[in-house]
Amino acid sequence: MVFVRMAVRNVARNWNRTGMIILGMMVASGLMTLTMSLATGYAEFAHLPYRQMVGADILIYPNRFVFDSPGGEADRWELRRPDPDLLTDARFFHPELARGYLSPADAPPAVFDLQDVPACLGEVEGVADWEPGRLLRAYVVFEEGGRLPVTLRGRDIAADRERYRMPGSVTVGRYFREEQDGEWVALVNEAVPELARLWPGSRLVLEVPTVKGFGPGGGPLLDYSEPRTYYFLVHGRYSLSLGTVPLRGVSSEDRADPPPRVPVAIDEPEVWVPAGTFDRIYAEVSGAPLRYTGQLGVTVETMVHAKTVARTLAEALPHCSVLTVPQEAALSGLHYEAYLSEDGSGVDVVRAYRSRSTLAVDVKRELSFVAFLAAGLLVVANMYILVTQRRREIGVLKAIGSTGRDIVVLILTEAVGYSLTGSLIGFAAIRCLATLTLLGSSVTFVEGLALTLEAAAVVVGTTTLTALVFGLLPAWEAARTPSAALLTDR
Amino acid sequence: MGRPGRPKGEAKDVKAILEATALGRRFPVGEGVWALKRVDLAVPRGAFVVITGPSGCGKTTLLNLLGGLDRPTRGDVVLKGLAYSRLDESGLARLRRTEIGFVFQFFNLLSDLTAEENVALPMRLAGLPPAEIASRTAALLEATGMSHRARHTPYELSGGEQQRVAVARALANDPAIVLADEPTGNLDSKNSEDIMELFRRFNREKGQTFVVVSHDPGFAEHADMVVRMRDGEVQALEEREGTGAC
Amino acid sequence: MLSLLEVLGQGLVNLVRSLHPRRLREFGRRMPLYGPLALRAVKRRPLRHLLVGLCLAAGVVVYLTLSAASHGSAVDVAGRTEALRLPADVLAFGLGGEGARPPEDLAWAAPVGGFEVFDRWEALTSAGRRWVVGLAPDSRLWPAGPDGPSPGPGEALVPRRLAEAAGLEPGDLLQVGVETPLGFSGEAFVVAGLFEAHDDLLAESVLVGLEDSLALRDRLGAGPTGPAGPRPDAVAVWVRSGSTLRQTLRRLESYFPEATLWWEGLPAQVSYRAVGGLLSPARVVKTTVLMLAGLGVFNVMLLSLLQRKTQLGVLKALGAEDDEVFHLLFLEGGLVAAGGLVLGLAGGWAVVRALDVSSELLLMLTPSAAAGAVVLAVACFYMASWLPATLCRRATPVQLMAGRRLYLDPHSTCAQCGRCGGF
Repeated sequence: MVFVRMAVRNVARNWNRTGMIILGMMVASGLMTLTMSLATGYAEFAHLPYRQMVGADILIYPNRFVFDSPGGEADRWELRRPDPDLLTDARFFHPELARGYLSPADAPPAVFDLQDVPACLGEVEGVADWEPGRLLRAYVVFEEGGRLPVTLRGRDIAADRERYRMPGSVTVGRYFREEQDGEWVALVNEAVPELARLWPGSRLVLEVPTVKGFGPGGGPLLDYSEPRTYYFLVHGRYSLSLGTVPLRGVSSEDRADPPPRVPVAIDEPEVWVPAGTFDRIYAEVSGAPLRYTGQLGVTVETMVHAKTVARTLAEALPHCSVLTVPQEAALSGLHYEAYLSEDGSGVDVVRAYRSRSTLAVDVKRELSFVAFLAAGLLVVANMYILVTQRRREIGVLKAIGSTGRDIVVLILTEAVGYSLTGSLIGFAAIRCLATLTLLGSSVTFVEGLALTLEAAAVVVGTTTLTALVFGLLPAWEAARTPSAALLTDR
Repeated sequence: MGRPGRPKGEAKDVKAILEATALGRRFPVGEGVWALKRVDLAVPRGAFVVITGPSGCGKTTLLNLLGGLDRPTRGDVVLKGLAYSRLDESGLARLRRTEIGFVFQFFNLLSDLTAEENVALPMRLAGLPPAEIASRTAALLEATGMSHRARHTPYELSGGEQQRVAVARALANDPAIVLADEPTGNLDSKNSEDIMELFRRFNREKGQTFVVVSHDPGFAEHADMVVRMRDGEVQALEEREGTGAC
Repeated sequence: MLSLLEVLGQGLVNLVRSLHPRRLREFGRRMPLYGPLALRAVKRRPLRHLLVGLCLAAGVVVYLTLSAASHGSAVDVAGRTEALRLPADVLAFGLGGEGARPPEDLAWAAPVGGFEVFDRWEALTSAGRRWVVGLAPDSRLWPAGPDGPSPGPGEALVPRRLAEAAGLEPGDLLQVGVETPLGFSGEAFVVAGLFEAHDDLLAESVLVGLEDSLALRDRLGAGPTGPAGPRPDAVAVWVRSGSTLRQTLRRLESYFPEATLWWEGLPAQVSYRAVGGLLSPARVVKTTVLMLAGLGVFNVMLLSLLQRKTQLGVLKALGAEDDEVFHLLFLEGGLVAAGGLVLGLAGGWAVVRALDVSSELLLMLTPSAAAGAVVLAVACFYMASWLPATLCRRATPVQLMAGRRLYLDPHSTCAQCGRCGGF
């Protein structure tokens, strides 16, 4: 116990020097934690507005336009342009795809055939449900004149109510009820100025181009010259709020402190109809039921494991792009900016895309291993310093009667102290962000705690174990060395 | 022989080769401690000066200030007409290189170097030609009785042998003054006697000026000047016969 | 006590000062003395210096391996990317409307061997949203060549695959138009014939005469216009012999900064960039690892200093200047770091070769990756060694010999008791 106390006192007295060692441990464990945290999932509220818009947690596209595992494959790649009339949510997240993207040359057409659905959708653990993407081009015809191109989207009412809390996003009117599936009711996006004029109970006229056939890419060929007209009852308006953004362009004299913030919402012009209604429309404009779709939307049981589920699906579907919606949002760098109009009369909200984030894929296992290795190297160096610094002191201790065992206890106590302190701080610094989001989610406290403890065990355990192993050997060697040799050690 | 690197402005025919004027050093421990309160000292050329006193009286502090190893809080030191206060760190380093030799209680030889390399080190720092370095080194080791151990590292030498090498090193550049801090403090009586004899011999035969801090009565017996210190001040200054002789 | 910023700022200044040629020259003159000293110090403590070398070597190996994997993967995928099939060497679309440079200026562009202006715009048709390509009657871009049949006024050629999917046959009407506030507005073209699309320009494009295309756009108010009405928005370019494709592309970029360029190698370039971008986590990791190696070096260098305070103090007492001791410590560490760097470069090369042979990955080590590793390793080493060397430089001989605490900012009133830190 004397030596334990001595060790603690040594750590406290030499804090500048030991601070460097603890810093090294912190960096090492922070790096380990980062690589582990990148692999964990999200909280339930992660990017909820985008998930609400899409009606899914994971999107699967039939074509690979994001390189997942380059090298080691026999694929050939070619430049493709997305089928202009085959709507997917990729065009919302990645408008640059319209200019062309790279895809495996021998990949099948860029559509899913619903008569031949991938089996893995029913087999992968964590998948709660899946739906085909129900998207069509359409035009809203206003009675007073004017037309607005929109996307017609079919909604799974049950999922929207239970999973995506859509009723809470309806600002005027009400969300669909399950018995309304197949009825001529519609919801419109309030963030689109032309649609914000529509009130519940009013009539919505929609023109949908007919489907002439299916192009070489598998997408529909729309005859824009012969559309069909549909009449809907507006059931309400929805708003997918993204919070607030600071107002830019305000002059310094007018600028309030803090600068004013403007609420923004997803402004994609869309008209939502129940899935059954969409299927009816589709059958009428194409002469056949919905069979080919450009995307599949997967709902997971919990967002915490969404990335893991996505990775499993990606491995099962090597020719497809599989991304969680948060990943899509992060990849796209999509954000909104609010500017004061030039004449100062109003506010313009602009959708912008930052340059593409390149963390499209999880840090691969090999990179994680490298990070762990690098961190371990740092721990080794720290342990070497710790013991080498103490050789003369160890000599003195032995000269006054300490045994070898006492010396080992002294060294290892300090080693464990440094590694625990440094690794806990490093772990906490990185992990707190993930923990906060977990706490704010519907993941139970026990589940969240278990996840965090699991990660902590790995990081702190690895660091401490490395410290013990690489501290034990030189400590033992010093304990065995005669004190005279240690005292003259330089 | 040429001595590159000697500081400029060397005054000639100065009787006192080293002068300390109103020298004081305060260490900021607690409320501040004056390790050296006020010391005035003039060391004649060729003198053998011994500074003695009880532990903690400021002897080592005085020696460090005289050697330019530390800066005084007040007062100044002048060596051969050069005031330390006018020199920056580089200037002091050059001064130590060429005009001051040190002998420490714990020898302080560089353990990576052999005896002859330790002796040659100050000369190499001063930039002397290799041939001259070699001849001077051999002469010094011969004079200190260490020729037979020239190729040994400090680990292979006894305490007395290490101190001999340290003395040879201190005399390498024919310094104006040699400062020794308890040179026999770590030696047995036989080795202490040998070292004292070395000092005396160089003082007598070469006129080397020494300032030695020591408790050893053997040094004080043969000193030209004995400075007794107490509580950071010179309590008594005893000049013996032969002061100023060179 | 100086703030951290002041310390870092001073550090940078001293860093630059220490690299001053005069100081380096002075130190260089003393190399016969300090070189063997440094070498001796390294040999005396082999394990410690081996650790420093290994730290740096490991960092360099990781850096080189990940660089090789990134580059190799990118090159591999670029090599497996199919080229565009084009009827000309370069196609440029979206030249710009009013105010943009007329494509006729290309007649004066040296790398351009020949060029042809044509029209290309997106329209809504009764066979989906399609590109409409308007070609002059003698255009080289017609599927059957300049001498082959071309559609007359009001006629269109449709790719065979598209026609089959849409159920179109020669003689059928194809509506071509745009969406207006009043609905679809367009004109009907007679499908004059079907063609096999052999290049990526014409595949799934509807071909009409240039005049028809411009006239339709004029009527519909679609696409870019010039001072005299709608102007053709695309140009096909052939590279003059003796010029290079790169020169032609640069010329086109300067003439038409807003245009989209297509050339045969475009997909390979896109794939190279895409893979490189996706592997930038590797870029982050490899740099981080090298910096961690620097942290390991720092720890060991600091220990090296702390254990040799007395010796370094004696050196100063004997007359070695502050800068010389500073450079000596760097020299010592530098010897080891150089060894570690060489080991790392050799080890990196070996690991890359081994992985290239044994795994399916393609790894390619480039000179720039090696140079980057060297630069980063040197920088990491230098930054890691700066603190220990500076501590030593700023300490007095007495402080060093007495084994007292060393500080970056040694204040004259500081008792160096260690209560507030120090090393």
